[in-house]
Amino acid sequence: MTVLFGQLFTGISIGAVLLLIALGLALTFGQMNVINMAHGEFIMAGAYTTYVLQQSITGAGLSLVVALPVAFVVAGAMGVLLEILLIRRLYARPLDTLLVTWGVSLMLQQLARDIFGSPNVQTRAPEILTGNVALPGGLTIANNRLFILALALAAVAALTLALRLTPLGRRIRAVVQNRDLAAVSGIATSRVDRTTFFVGSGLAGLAGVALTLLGPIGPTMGTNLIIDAFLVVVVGGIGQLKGSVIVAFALGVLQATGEYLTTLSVAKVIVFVAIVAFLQWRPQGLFTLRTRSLA
Amino acid sequence: MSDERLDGLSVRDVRVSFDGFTAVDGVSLEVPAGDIRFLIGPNGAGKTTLVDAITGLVRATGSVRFGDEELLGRAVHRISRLGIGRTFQTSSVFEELSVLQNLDIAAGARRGWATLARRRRGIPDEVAAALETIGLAGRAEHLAGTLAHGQKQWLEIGMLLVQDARLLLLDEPVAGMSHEERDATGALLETVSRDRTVVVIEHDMDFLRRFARSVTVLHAGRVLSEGTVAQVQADPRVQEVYLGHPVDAGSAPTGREA
Amino acid sequence: MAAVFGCWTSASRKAVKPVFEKNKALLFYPVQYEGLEQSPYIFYTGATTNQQIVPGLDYLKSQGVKSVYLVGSDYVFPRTANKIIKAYAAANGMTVSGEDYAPLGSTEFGTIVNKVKSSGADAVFNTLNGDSNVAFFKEYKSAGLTAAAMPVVSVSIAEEEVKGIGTQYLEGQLTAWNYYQTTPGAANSKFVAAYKAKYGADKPTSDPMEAAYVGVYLWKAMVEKAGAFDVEKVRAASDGITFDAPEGLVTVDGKTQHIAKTARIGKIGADGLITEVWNSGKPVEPDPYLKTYPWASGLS
Repeated sequence: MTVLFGQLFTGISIGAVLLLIALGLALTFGQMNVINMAHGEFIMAGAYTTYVLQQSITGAGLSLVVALPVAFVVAGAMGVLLEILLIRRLYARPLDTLLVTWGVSLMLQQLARDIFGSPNVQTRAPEILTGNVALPGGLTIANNRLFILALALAAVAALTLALRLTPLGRRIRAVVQNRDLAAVSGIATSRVDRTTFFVGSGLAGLAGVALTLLGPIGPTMGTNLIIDAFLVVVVGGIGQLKGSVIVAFALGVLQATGEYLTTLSVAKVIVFVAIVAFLQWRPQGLFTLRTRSLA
Repeated sequence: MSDERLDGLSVRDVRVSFDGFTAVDGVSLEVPAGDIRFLIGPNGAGKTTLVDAITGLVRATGSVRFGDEELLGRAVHRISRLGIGRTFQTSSVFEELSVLQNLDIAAGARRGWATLARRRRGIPDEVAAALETIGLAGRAEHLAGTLAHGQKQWLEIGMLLVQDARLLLLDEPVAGMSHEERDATGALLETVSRDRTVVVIEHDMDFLRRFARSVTVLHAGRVLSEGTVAQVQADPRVQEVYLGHPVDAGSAPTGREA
Repeated sequence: MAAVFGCWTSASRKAVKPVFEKNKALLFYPVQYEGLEQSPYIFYTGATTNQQIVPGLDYLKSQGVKSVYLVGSDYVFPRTANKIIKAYAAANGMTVSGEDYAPLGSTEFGTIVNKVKSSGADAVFNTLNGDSNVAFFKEYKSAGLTAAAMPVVSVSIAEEEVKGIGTQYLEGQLTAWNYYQTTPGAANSKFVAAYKAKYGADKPTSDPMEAAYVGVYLWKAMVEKAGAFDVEKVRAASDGITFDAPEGLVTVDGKTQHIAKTARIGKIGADGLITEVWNSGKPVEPDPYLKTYPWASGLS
């Protein structure tokens, strides 16, 4: 029973990580249809931001708190730069965008190698985030996992509220739903694109900070995450935040269950088979947005 | 509600090419201020492409002036902010937003970014007025996607009204509408044309005869004929283009462009 | 080509092995590996299993460990190493409480750590590779597992890797190698000083670096003894070549083309360095096929 609950929480926390790394993509890929292969490197930028900040802010807790907004801005700025320099010129050319951003991804990895060296670097986590909460029955829940879960849910909530309630959010949704109509309604779509890209990339930076608590901080850390992130958004349905949220947790629990019943390698296969089967059945993903092109 | 200025549209030698195919081939036309001009022509005549060129959605050469302003070469949203509004062939509203939010977006497009950070409450006057004009006051909170077909078209026109459009370019506003809806739409056009210039792309000849003040016939990217409804209907070239031989243009097909 | 020094993973070595054999060229391979291999054209300057894994198990046994949990990456080295560990355990009254493999590059260890924790094993034998180690140890600590209650013996974590994981997560955990930056002796003091002068004071030395460094000197001695660069002559001259290495005296075994080296178990300190807690006292003769260990008779 304890193991069962432990595994359930493991699944939820895998889901939270997936959600956090996919959330930014849900904006830039899901909402804007930009296939940005360098998204993983924005995650990496967030993680290195934490590392750099710790060189001057030695308190592990304080540096983590400071790193969250700073990494958001750093990764967001990188995203805007990429949007202005390259992606803007390649809208409606998805294959070119994919190749170009993949090239950018390799360049950013090399840049990280040149600056920080190719071995991983370490950050110090605040002591409280390396502990756990003990529940009756010998069950423990890791504090860093709780933190990431809370961060992911907070990011989803903030994003949902911003999209629903602010005029800016309404404009983003308007551009996503019908770009031409938004433009002829007087919305400066290119500015909305840039803002969306800033927020989406910034969220990747946020994920990078959180991942320093869990995994390696190195030049290739982003590459390992990017495929999972794309899968979540594709299966969740393009343009729908709630799809990504549900799918992230569903895949997390499926993977944890598979890992427990079989092995990690087989679990990965199970997850991929499930995704392929699901997309055969619903190629458009869990939820779809009615847009002009699909009407 | 709208600007007191009433301007006309002047299109001079406009050309649009896609990969070597010339969709609009040197069109010139003058729409005087306050007109209700109908653009007709068979499929592929270039009607929608011409409207796309005027609103900046496709690149074009030549000149398009509204009042004193040259439109060609400007960004889409800039053209929109000069008072040019359009609707699309397939009904284009933001389906996942409410009627009110749709109008809000159109109304808010000119507001500065500084005001965007805070959420606005209450319904602005011009939005309320537009809701009345288009007869959707009772459905303000409904999702636009749940509206009936005709209501979506009116919502689109309403969005143009709150956006202070002084030139309305309507792409097949009554396609798929019931008889009553067409009458209501026609009445709406007459109301809004009091202080605006209106251009309508339409295939419905009955609707055209009742509400057009002037007509331009396009064929293969060029202007074929222009004049009053009667003049155009009497033009043998128009009859030939529509049916292959000169007959009464009143039975012209009502097919739609792709 | 007189000699090549290189390769990192066992997979990379296995890939180039036929090429070296076909062209009768020499490779000096500097990394600890899973044994069960003896190519006439490869000199193995890192540890084979009886110089690293077996001493690691001997040490655990001497500390009263009765059960181990095996965690490794899903490829040739951990799979082979764990086969050996299971045979050792069966012959030495140890239980293997569980065995789990993570796909290479995997950084999600929630489930494995849950299973390790609920297994109640006395110790963990870790053959994970690369980034997976980072995620594993972060998860391990978060689950409340400690070096005191359930120590982890790692065979792929040297000083460089410690820097990339963080001592916060590693302090007190064990490693099995043949060399540490802290290994005493004049040869090592000189090596460490020279290394830091060239690459920076914050760059630690580690076992694979040392094994690669040793490889070059061994080859030099072989060439000098043979009086030629010719591959066959160099091979013939290799037996009995010694070198006063940073890790201590090493001797080439011409039959297996492995080297005799001292096994050292170390404990990771808060400063990121590894301090020896046990050594084999004298160089351990290489035995890549574990022929001298009766319990290993069924393995190869």
